[in-house]
Amino acid sequence: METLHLSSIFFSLELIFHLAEILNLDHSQTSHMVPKLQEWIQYYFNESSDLADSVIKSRDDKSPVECNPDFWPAVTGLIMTAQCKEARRLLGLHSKKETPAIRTLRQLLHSKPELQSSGGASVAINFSVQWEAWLKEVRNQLISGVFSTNQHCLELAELLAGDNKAEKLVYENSETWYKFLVTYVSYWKPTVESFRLGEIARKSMERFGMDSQMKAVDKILLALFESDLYQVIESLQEFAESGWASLHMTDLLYHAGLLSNVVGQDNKIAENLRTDLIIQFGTLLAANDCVWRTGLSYLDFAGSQGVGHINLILQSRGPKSAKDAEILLYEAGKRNLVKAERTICSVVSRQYLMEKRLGSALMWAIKGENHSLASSVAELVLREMAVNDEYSISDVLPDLGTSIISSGHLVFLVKYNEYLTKYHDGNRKEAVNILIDLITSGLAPPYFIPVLLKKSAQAAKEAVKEFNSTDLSNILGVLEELVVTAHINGTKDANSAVACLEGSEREIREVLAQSICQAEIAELAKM
Amino acid sequence: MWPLTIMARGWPHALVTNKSRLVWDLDLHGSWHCTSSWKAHSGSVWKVTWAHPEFGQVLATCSFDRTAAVWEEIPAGDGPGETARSHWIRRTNMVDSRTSVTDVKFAPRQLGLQLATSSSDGVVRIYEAPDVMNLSTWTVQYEIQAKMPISCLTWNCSFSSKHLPLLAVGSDEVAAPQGTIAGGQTSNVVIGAAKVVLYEYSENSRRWAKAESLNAVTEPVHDITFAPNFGRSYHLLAIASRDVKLVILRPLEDSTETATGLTKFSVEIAARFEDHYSVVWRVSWNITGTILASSGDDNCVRLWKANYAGVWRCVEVLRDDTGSAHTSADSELPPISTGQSGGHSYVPLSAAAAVSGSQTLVGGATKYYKLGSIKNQNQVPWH
Repeated sequence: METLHLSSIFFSLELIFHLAEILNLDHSQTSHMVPKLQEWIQYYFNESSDLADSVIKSRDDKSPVECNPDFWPAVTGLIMTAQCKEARRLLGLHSKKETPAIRTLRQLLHSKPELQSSGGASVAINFSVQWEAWLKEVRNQLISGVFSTNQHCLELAELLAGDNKAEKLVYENSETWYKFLVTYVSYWKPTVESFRLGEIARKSMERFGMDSQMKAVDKILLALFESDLYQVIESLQEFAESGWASLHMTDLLYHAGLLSNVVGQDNKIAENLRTDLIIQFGTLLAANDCVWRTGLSYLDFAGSQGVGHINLILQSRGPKSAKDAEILLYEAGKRNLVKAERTICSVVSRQYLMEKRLGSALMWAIKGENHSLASSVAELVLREMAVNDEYSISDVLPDLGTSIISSGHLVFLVKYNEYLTKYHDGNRKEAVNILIDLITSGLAPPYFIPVLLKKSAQAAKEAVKEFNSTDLSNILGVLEELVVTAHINGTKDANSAVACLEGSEREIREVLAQSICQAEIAELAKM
Repeated sequence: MWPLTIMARGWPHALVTNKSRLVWDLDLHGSWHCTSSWKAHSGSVWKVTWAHPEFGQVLATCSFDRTAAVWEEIPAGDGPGETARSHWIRRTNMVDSRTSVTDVKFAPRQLGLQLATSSSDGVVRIYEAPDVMNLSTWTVQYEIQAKMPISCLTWNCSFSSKHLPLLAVGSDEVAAPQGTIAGGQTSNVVIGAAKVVLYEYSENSRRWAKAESLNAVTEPVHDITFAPNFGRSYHLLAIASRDVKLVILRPLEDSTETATGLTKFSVEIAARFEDHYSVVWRVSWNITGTILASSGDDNCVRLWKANYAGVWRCVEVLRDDTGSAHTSADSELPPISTGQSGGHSYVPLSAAAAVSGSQTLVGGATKYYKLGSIKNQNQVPWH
């Protein structure tokens, strides 16, 4: 049922927009309304053609085609919607097509002049002359009584003649007042100008008793015929609640230069109206999880206010996954919204931090150029590494790029990771050099020194060749300093660096001492 | 009337009743779960506010017990099921105030991690956390003496760097009647001082100074809020007092050259609505600053919107259909707006994006769907 409802709304909107196009957008001094209106009705209400088709299909040899109860309604319908060729063809299937009534009718249908939709005043004059001549012919035939043998033909001839008696026929065969209107202008006023249509529309509506039962569509169509564009926009807003229809109508009118007429010749107000409608619709879409990106593309057309809204929307959509975040960043990047990009990255980083996914948190903090956050996360990583040997975020680190310079913690982290990678890959010499740098440079945070000392001892055991004695002495010096400082301060702090070293201190001393000896011997041997 | 405060920040919403706090989360299926509830203060909690998610999941509260507190969420860990309760811990307690702290608001993100509190003795304190990763350390950066009891405050949130930081405070002081006037006759005219004052931060003097007082507002003010501003050249302030007022503040062109370095504003009352026909307790903007919600003693929440020509009108009225006792509701509207009145939550949706299976309450351009009753609320009369 929902689909049925929606498709009927869509149908109505098509009807409305097409009529708006005919009456307003496609309009020039030289164009004539009636052919276009005929086309309009034919396009949307082609029941008559369908009926005619079904009559033709159901033909068989047993009974004449005119016995089909749909035959005459089909012919009538075709004539009313100005499809005279088809009507003539259908009549040609009549078993008694040679009788004077039907033959004459067919002849009249054949000779009916057609007005082209463009061509200007000269074409209109030509047509008028032809039309008058043809009308005269129709009336003569009527007077001559040739149609008296066939009631249907009589009625149809009266319609062609624009005789008031035919008005009842038209009324009975029109489902809606606008079908009535099109038939009326086709046969009574074929050269009608657009500004008279309003009056005719009102009369048609009255004929159908629509005053008391006007539906939204009727209201809008009437407003279009009366060229009351303001009413059109207002009614569209009520009719199709989401605002899509009124927005696009306003936009079309704006681009056609007609919108300022609607709001009292004020261009500024016209622009405001359009912008306001765009923002309303855009923000409505942006609130929906499925179509929010479409909302953004609407807002792109709303000037600086639109940009502000987009900024806000991008920053307040809480991304629920990295993929969400990437989409948000893409949208922000497309529009050069640097602040929004930064905020999004920071928010994602915070979310990862909450989930204790430090590597991802770090990556996003750097991406968002949030130096303080990145530094804090780097520190958390280092603290984690200090207590947990296995902890590693090496999959994240290679992508960090040049922004690491912003933070001491980050620099240290990257260097340390470099050391680990090189050592692991067998590039001992370089690894050891980095390690020595790390220990002796003073960059290392106090809680991390035990880790470095342990690594040094391990490296010294496995690759003493790569060290020289001075470096080893320096490393031992660092250890000494650590222990002495702790003694001076007292061992109050259970988490202090010395406490972490506990147990391994003796072993590290031994290893370092042995390595210093070996290194010195090696150096002496070289001399 | 207890302000049942809902502050929206992305997904989770916070509700405060009496002394405790409830944090509700909207999950993927659109249903609400209470994820956390704890006793926050030793006195009634007046207001609750969220910080920008860039700083993490952070809340601030203020209370009758003369303190304000900042809370941070600690993730629940692997609890059973989706509704495992998360844990909120108090990061800091601000005890500088000597009287009840009536309002607390975080500053716009551009100003860093700052917080303003207002007290009923008229002092506004602006705190800052210099290290955004350490929420335990907040220092008082500025103190503003407003010389009248303050009931509410609001920061101006503007993305434009042209606008200086701006704060508005409102007072609910009841104006005293004037004494005798010239000629010895007693006057029955009640003349009050301006109840809304704007303060601006001047870079030159590095302090907050009074920029403007709105003389047009002389009755007690219960709530005040700036509309989020992006792309507009003027600021929009909503005031809840005897009626709903909308004030447009236009920064005047040559103002930054004045000696004080402060902006001068032109003040215009854009709209004034008495539709509630009673005291209006709360006003709140949606996230784009285009829809205002107000709630009053008539048990209704009204939504206000301006059209393209700047004309404001009421677009929706939400009535409490349970006939429960008066509530003054606070609502802040995110893009999918949430309003609250009388313990029910309403979510406005377009007809096109309809949620099925719910009751439609009020028709019109947007439909409101009753999400469900929030039970177990203690509604204690305010006065």
